[in-house]
Amino acid sequence: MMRGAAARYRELLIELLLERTLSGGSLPEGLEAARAAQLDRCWQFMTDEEQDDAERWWASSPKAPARLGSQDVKVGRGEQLLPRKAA
Amino acid sequence: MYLSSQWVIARDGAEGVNVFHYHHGPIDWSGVPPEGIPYEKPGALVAESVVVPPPGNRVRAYLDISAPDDADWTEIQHSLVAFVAATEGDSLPWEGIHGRCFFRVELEHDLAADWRRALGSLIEAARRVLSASSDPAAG
Repeated sequence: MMRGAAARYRELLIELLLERTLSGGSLPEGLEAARAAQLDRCWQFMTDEEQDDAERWWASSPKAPARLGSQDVKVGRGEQLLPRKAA
Repeated sequence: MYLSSQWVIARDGAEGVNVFHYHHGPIDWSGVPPEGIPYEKPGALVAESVVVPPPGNRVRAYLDISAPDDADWTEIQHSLVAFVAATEGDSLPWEGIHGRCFFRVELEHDLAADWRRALGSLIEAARRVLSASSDPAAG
């Protein structure tokens, strides 16, 4: 189980991803540098194995089916229907 | 609440992320999500953002979030970040509970190759809808 710096490092990567998405792709230089500094601080407290795990995780392509086999559903306001069903 | 962010593609190739926001009303939700939520009890639809009109579009990816109706985006994002960080990059779907929130993510193979970008798009679409629902002036 991940502890401390390794877990926080992954969280910071996700937070950075969300911030970049929200800002349309990239962050202002100062903010980008601040985030990089936070990542660096965590990195320094991680073991070699944790660093390898973090890099592998971020670069991974999880196994997924070619198709999910679902199609969307029209739902009206107030209705209690799921927005998708099996195709 | 149940917040479902769905990446869909129509037969004509139109593609985009639709979001559906449901409420459950008064319910005891002090800890983990009550049983049956969201898939047996999705709640009642209160808002949506539709880019590619349903029905019948193929769902290429989705992010499902369940949280108490009064949860704000700050709480959801905090739990969501912890949820994603705890995944091990193995097989999809990813599913888990963090804090008071339930999450499930599923992606088609072609989107899973860059899951970071796909997930970012799904999350951002969900955030916009919840923010607009919480503060209509924020649109």
